[in-house]
Amino acid sequence: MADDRARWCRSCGSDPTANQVCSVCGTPLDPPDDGPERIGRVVVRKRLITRLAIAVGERNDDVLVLEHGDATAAVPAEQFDRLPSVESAPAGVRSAAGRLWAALGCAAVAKARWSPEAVAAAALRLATATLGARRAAAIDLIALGRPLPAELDLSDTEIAWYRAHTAAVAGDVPAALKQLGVLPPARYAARVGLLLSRFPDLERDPACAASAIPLLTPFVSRSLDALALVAALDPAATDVVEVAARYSEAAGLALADGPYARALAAYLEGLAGVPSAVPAQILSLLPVPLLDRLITAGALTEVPPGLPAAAATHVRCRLAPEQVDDETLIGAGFTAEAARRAYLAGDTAKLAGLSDGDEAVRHYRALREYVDTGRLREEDLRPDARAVVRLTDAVAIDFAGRRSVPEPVAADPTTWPRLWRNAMLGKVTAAADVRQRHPQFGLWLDLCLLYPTLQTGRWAEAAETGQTVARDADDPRTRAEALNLAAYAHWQLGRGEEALQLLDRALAIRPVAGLAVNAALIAEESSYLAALPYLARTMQLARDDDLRRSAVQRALDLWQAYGRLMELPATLGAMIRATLAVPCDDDALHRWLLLLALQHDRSWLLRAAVTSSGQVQALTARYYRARAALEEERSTTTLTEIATALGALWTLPARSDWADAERDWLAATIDEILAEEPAASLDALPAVKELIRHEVLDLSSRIRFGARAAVRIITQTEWSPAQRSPSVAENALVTAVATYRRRRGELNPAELRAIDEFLGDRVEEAAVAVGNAAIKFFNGMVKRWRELQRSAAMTWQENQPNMAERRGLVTTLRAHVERCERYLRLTRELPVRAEVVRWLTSFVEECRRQLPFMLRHVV
Amino acid sequence: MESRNPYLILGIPFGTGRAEANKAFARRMKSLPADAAEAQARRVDLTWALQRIDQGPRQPDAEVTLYRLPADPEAGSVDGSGVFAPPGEPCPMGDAAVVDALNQVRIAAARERLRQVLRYRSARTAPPTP
Repeated sequence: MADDRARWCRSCGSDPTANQVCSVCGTPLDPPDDGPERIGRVVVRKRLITRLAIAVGERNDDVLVLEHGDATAAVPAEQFDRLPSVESAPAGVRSAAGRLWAALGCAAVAKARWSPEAVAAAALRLATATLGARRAAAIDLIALGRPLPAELDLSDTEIAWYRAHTAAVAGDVPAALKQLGVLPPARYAARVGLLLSRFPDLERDPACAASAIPLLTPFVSRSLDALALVAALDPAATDVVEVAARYSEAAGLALADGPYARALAAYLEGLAGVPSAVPAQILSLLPVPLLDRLITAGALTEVPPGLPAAAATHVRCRLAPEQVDDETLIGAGFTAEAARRAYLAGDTAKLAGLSDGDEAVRHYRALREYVDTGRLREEDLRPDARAVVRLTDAVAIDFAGRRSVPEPVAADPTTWPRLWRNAMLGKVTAAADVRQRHPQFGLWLDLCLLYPTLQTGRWAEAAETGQTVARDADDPRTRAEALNLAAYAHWQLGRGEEALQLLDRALAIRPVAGLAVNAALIAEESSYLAALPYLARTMQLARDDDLRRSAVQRALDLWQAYGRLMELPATLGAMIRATLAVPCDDDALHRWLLLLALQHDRSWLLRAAVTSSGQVQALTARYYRARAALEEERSTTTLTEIATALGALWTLPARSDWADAERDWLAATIDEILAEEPAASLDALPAVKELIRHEVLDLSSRIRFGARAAVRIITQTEWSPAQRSPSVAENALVTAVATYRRRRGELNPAELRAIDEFLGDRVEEAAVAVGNAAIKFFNGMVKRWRELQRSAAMTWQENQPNMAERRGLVTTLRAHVERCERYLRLTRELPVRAEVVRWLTSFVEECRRQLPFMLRHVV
Repeated sequence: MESRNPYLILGIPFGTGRAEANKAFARRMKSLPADAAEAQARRVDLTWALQRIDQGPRQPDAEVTLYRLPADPEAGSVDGSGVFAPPGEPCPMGDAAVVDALNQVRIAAARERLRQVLRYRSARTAPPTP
């Protein structure tokens, strides 16, 4: 570190020396000399008038000041020091000459009356008095931004140094670096201290740092500061570790570790198995290879926050490869893992698409081929796997006699399933020492050997061995299967209860559908109710729809056989619900379940989201839900909906037999509703129309139901004359009669007679109702007409309301008459009693006579 | 309920396909006992077993009226990794890469320390006199 006070050569930048003169360039080593402190100071003199005065010289104990013009006046130094000062020079200006030049451009002293030329002359005189004064003056002129006079006679490098210094002090680091760049490379060692003072700026700005490095490099061998600065700023520096150690030691500071130091410490602790208290995000500073090692050591179990994307992908691939897609795996360099996954998934196409150049890809292709086809391509297998596969193959293939399992095979549990068939046939054995060293393999083999034991009917032996294996084996599959085999043996021994207990244990260890099926079989021997929970469990555990369906079918069969007369058991109800909630491709079973739900679980069916597969099931479900709704509440809406649902079923290309039965049921229901007395509040006509529209009803029924439902409405509801056109019910009656007239040839004689009579009765019923309504109105009208005649007003204007009412009466009567005439037309060719026709005809004729008379009295 | 088990009689696991069942039947028929009565009884058993499997559902897994031996199609498998169920494959991260990465972190930590000290000293170092 350069000593600021040392006398070094500012002219050529040579290092400090004890001499008075630079040994290189011969220039004296005088440091900058600021000169007398009082000179250049501006004071306020108060005499007759207050004036500003500036000190331009000293003589003995007096200070020479300029106050007005170029004449100097002497002021005793003691008096001068007491005068108030005016700040006329910036803080950085330190020399006497500098202060004089500063005063010349200072706004605060702009009103001064002194001569600027005299001040400038005094400044130049002072600036050139000595080498030290010249240097000090140069520094101040640079700070003031003024040109340097030739009289200063300083070298270019010295001026560059002063410019660099001034810029650095002012915080303009790029300008400082530019000036330092002008200096001879190995000289002006003071630059190191100058740049050290601006280190935060250099650290912040990579461009500045890059510029600073060559300026500092020549000094690294003689300045620890320079060495440290270069190591800190140069990304390519290789000696950083040593420099940091030296510099820290020299500085003797006890500073807290930074993030990288903490990350490094965490890494080393992680490898050593020491739990680290370092926050996870600090670990994100570690490069991928170190994170990888931490994962291998088990010290990193999740992706640290803030990790760069590529590193995060790598960590994810390492930590949870199953959660990363293949493309990402391959992209992150995990080709071997991608190959492994394709092998495990049996995806030969994906394996084929991976790079041939990777030995892992070739290994997994060969392994997959062996697993799929039995073909052994040893050359592509990894050496350690090759030996195991070869040995496994020898005991897995079909062979005569018995073979002992080699130890590498017994040691690798993934090879055991390949021996399963031969082991079940009793063809595989294990030497005692192999069993001893691999007891789990021994137990697995014992499990396999239970099959020949059962096959030969050695039930007691099988029951005992099975329970022993179940007790000692580690793997839940082995234990559960051992219990399953033992349970079978117990069952064969007639000990169903014990067998069921063993299966319950097996289900608790490994819940699989097969165990539940077996338990149901044993349980149903005691009662069908005992079997239902196991069949329900089978449904729950089944991985495929076929088994699920078989389970519910079995439960229904048992219920039909043993419990049909009783209420549907809750378990079976739940099974039905569960089956209806998932797709079922058996239409018959689906309908059966819907029917059972309708019969036993109607309120659920009404609200359930039944899952249907295909149009038939969807329409069937709609029908049964509609039926549930109707049985829950009889209304026009529910009756219409069930008719619509049945109509939709009717249009299917292949209609089921059950639809005919449902049609009959619905017809009977409508018949019952139409026969209700007093009449039901619901309107059956929309439902009948739906059935007619979808041709659900035969000709006879559609005429009957159409006419009946229509007449029911006509006779039960009040007709409004304001409704000029025929009502829906009237139209339906007309349609029924018209259909009969048009298609009567399609009916057989008996049907024809019956329908003829039926329609005659219905039309007569309607005609009587309509006629009665019209006569009732007519009688009332006559009475009201007379009242209106009596209460007629004297003037035309006043009589308008009276006339309006009369017009209304006439219009209504005409509507009644027209309605009666429509019904009279309906009666033609139908067996309606003649007196009814005459009665209605005479009323119509009477009205037709009266109407012109009435009209004459209506204006 | 039928207590005999056709799969057990044929010596094949539950769920074995019909083709395999036929093979097992043929194999067993070749090794009948020498005693004629026993052989006949065995033949009857085997024939029944084959027919029973034939009469079952097309998908054996939908069968719910036969005791399943084994109950679990995966009964022969056990947990663990090995040649046929290999563990995860780590990305090849060689020692050289680790050494290089460790060196990088050491340098970064040293540079970090160096900068800390330099910042400290810079804050306490006045610019030299010009």
